[in-house]
Amino acid sequence: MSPPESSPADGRARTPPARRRLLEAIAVREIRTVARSRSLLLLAAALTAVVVGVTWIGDGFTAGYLPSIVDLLTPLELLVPVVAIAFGYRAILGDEQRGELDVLETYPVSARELVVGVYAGRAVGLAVTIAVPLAIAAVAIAVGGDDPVSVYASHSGADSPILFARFLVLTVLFGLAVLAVAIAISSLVSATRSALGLSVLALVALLVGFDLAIVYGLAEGIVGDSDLLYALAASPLSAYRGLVLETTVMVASGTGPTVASPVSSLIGLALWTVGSLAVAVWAVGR
Amino acid sequence: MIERQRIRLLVVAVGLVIAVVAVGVFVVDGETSDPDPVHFDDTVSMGLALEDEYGLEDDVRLPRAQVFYSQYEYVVGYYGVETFVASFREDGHTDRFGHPRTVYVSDYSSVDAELSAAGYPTADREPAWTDAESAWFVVGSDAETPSGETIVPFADRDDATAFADSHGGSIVTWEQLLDRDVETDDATVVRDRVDDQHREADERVEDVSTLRDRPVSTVVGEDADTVQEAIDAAPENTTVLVPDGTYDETLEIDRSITLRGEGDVTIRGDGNGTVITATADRTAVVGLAVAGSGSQRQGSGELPGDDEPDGAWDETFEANYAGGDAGIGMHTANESLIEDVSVDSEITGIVLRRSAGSVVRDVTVDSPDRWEDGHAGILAFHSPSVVERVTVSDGRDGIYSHRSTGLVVRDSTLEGNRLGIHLMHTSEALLADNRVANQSNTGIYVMTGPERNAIVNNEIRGAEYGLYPDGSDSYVADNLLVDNRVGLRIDATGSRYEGNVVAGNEIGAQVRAMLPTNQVLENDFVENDVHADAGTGPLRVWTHDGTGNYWQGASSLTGDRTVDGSYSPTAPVDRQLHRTDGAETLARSPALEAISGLQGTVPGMRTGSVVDLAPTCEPNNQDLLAETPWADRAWSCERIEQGPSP
Repeated sequence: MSPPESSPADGRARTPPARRRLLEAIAVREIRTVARSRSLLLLAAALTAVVVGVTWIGDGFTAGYLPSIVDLLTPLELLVPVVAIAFGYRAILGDEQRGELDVLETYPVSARELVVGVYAGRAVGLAVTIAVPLAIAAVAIAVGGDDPVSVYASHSGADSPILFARFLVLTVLFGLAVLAVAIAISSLVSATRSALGLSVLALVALLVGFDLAIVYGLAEGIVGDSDLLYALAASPLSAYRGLVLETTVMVASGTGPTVASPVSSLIGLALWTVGSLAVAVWAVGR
Repeated sequence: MIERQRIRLLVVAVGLVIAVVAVGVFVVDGETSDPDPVHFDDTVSMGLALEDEYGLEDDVRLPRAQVFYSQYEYVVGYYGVETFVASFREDGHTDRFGHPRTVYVSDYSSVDAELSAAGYPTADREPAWTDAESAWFVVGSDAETPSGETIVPFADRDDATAFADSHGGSIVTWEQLLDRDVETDDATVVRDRVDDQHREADERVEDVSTLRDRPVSTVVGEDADTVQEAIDAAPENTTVLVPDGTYDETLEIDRSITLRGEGDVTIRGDGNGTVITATADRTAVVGLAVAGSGSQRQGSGELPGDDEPDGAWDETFEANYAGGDAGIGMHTANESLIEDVSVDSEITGIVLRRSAGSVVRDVTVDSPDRWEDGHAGILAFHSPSVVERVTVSDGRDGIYSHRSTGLVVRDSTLEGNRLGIHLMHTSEALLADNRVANQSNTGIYVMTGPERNAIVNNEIRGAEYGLYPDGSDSYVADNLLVDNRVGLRIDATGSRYEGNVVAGNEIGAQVRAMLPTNQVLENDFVENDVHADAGTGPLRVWTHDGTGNYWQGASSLTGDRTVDGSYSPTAPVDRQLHRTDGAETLARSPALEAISGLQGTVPGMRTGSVVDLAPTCEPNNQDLLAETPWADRAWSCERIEQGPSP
């Protein structure tokens, strides 16, 4: 069971593999933590119930992928941040409270490695938590579509599982961006209560605050008509919504004004992720 | 160690695959490749009345289009490319169907096309299909469909040029064609026609009414012993006067005279055949009672009248239906008058066959008590005529019409029949101001896909189905539909349903039309168990130009006299709003509002539901509603007292 290639690989450099292993160990530990957490499992189950329930109430199983996306969009805009925050808000704080941060400091692990490792581990858990309910919904739609009246020729129109896959990917990306915010919160605070408080604050800001700020800006003329597409990218919710509408719904409805600038929305989500992680790195390194 | 390495590799590999797939779904085109054309018979088609379709010669090949829309799962077929262009240019078309992804049109390059005498394109076989975007279109040529001027598509430009050289017209591309204004007679044209049609009917009545005043030439009992002898003796354009009494005779009128009763006159047949048969234009039967016809429902043998069999597709129908026994039978008697007559019907009261321009008014038909024993109160066959102020009770069909384009039935009372008014293959009819009560099956039933009918101001109560119009481009307005099992059944497409009051029915409106092309607005739905119910087919949006309908139960907390959000009579909570306490509280839950916020999007992909995006706050037809017991139950949507107006 020992392939010959393994020896050169091992001997290439001693420190980086060791460090990589450290990062990996942290990530694997986070995955284990997430998998063992009953409350997070419960949360995942609840999310599954909501996704399946909304699809059912909206008659999405018979109607198809695109109508389901439209039905799910608003509920997920609200729920995904809640789930993501729940996944992340105690991640680093917990380590600190249990004294594990002190232990980790005895290892050659930098703040950056710690944050990235924790984030990576939790991200896997969150991605699975979001992707599984949507995948279940997709399968249900695939098998649950009612047969069209057979005396007429039918076709699938613009509806396609590809659109639902896009929706799934974008929802996971959206969740990951909010998770980074949660990690930042977790690293900034020193007590569970303040973590909870700050998380709620962050949720309010995310769910309502940024969008209202854009509305205010638009109403007051601070955001010009031509800037709106880019301003939308600044709010994770709007960035996500715009991306979903642009890459799924607009495919079917065709003409009309552009709903989003995909590139700037993606950049917006990326900046939120990277920025939040940077804040976390800075806070842990304090 | 190596095991770990493998796991690591595996993780990296899985990660890479996920990343590639995640990016990939945005790179690949979500749309599938162009679908192949389907058999036209398999499409959900529009643009040709069934009557016209039956009437076409075998070699006629009308230009057609079939369209695959991005949001509508059935292929839509259009008779006449212009029918598609007109639909496409209508407001809201794209909202309902999505955009046309692929359009195929008949390719007259694939056949040797000629024009028939009527201007219909003919060929020895059906033209092939070609992609519309690369086709050439001849507009303004002599080519026609039964609906009017038509556009002829060609795959090859030279063929288009050759066609235009011999039949006129000019050549345009698909893009140019979509930019052209195409006039078709839609439901609003029908609406605008109603007053004119009433006026024309008034003129018709006025013209035919002069027949009453013909000079008396013969008096029964004085100038002749029997009524028939008097008829035979009377010169044309005079009146045969029948004094008080009962006359046991079976009459035939073959000249243009007026038969007028004075006092209490009854003509009683011997229980065989039709009691009074008239076969001359401008015959009038006025002021008498008729009884004692035979009770053969179906005719057999030759029909009275001076027409020759013309081999039309409905010839057998005609012999069977219009040849049955009746109180009065008018055959090929154009512009005739039946006025102030009552028929004690054994099977059918009055038959009008090929008697265009006739008037039946102030007539009462009593059918046998059991509807199974009757046929029609008044049967109009190929007879566009005016029927007004008639009363028909207990019949199978109160008023039955077959291919009587332009028929007018108004101010009439239909009571206890199986079907009140029954139209077959009858387009451009006007059914107005009728009172239709307690039909065991359907109040007004329009069948066989006719076009441009107007059904206005009727009051229909106590039927299994109140109003059941089929066909297209019809105008259904200001009707009062009360206490039926189903108030309004929507099978007709491209039609406008407005200002109807639908109250106290088990199901207010029931939609079965496959095409979401109706305009449904300003109707009032009050005290129905269920306001509306929808069958297979896309989501129906019952809002037109920002105006919706009044739904008892839809409410507002905003104080701006508009209902908050949309209302869906087919949604589990909305449909309970007007009769279940607490439903309103549930309807306002963020969870439901989050879903309903986007309810109107991608309608073509949703099935079996109805949504009104702009319900009205107050009932739209207060006067009509006042004729029901529930006017005070049609409460305003407003839940908050309004402050003083600014």
